[in-house]
Amino acid sequence: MNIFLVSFIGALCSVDITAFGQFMIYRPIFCAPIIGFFSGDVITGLCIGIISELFWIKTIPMGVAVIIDVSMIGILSTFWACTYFPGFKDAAILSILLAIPFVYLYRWIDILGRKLNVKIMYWVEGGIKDVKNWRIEIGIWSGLLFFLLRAFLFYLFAIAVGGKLLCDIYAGLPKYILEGLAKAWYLFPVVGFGVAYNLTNIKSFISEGFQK
Amino acid sequence: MIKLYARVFIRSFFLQSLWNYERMQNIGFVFILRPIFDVLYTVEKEKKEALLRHVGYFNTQPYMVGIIVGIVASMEKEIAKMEPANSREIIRDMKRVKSNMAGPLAAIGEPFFYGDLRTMLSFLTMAIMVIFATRLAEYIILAPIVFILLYNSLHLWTRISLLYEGFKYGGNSMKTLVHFNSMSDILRFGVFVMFLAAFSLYLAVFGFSNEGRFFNSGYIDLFVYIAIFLFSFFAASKFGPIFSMFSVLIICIIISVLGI
Repeated sequence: MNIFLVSFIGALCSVDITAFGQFMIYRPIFCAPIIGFFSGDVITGLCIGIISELFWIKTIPMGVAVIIDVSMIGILSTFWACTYFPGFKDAAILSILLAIPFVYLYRWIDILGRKLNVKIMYWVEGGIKDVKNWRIEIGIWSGLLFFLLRAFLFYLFAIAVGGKLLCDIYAGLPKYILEGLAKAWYLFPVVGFGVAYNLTNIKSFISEGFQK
Repeated sequence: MIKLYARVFIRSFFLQSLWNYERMQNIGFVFILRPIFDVLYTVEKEKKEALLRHVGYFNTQPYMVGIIVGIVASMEKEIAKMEPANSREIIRDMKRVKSNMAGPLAAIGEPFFYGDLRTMLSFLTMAIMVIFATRLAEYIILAPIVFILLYNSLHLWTRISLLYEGFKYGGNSMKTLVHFNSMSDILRFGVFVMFLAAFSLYLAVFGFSNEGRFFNSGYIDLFVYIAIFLFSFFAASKFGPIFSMFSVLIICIIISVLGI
């Protein structure tokens, strides 16, 4: 799959988190299998999607919180795993682990980008005062464009750098660690279910819901 | 009029496009209201004052914004008919309604959509994926598409209906929100059922498959899975999901080193 196309799909998913729509296409349960399907290994995409969704099930943009881009974990790890090591379970787990620092780096960039929005907001407000109402539309479109552009550029960077890192790290790992990673392929979803059980309101439903 | 509703509805998707730390969704809200103001105010000075009334702090759950837009639009309609000197009280009321509604609407919308509906559909999709992985692997890509279709059918219906109710009934449209309360109990039960379905199907299909087995005995494998589940449950509550992830990874590496 072309890295420009993956970056564009990834950027669209990132925009869905806050800037436009909130159609939930950014959830790993959706975007990871889709990337896996187009990369020719839908099962890897599906498993990465399930693992990422379970671990970050509570990562949702509530209130003023700027969350990590969970779609990036699903998309980057699926693309790396399907492109460089198709069918390798240990490499798929390694790619999920490798995606985590990239996602936190992008969150930092995202926060900086949102600070720029304050300046655009004042520019729009000044425009309304001067009866230049067209600035409202320009402000909204530029905000959306900046969201899209920074995600697209970051995806290009992460795919290229991360892919190289994944290959180098994988080649240098001893056999027992690779076996451990392959075992984690089966255990991570179980861990994810434990995490999801704790983070969602299933606990409170069991204690309160049945009493109702 | 339908054309105006359609324009406002489409613009409601852009509520957070210029999300900022100081006033959150303020410009997005003004962007949604602009077509309404173009109809209501023909005098440029009045339109300017109307737009400036809404550039203050605003933050709510994006799906629920329609009802506030509808109520604000109906109040602005009354303001547009009044003399500026007589409209002070209704402007004050409108600002109060807007700020007092945003928080509670977010408190209804976020747990309902992000907390319960999305979680339930995620577990449902996982269960479908696991079933399809064994029997209908060629159609497995349909599972995430089902997730998006089911979620967005309710999401879009909510956006459309709240905007319509807000426009039609103004302040009286608040009674529509009662439906969320009655549906939320059903959804919470759905989350519980779907979690059990997804987890048990995963264990049955992948956990006890030949590749997924750690030991030759099914009982020991079951014990391992339960122990890992309980460990990650407690570790996640104390130290977070990433701690659980790396702890289990270390356990897996230790198992490999020991040659189990």
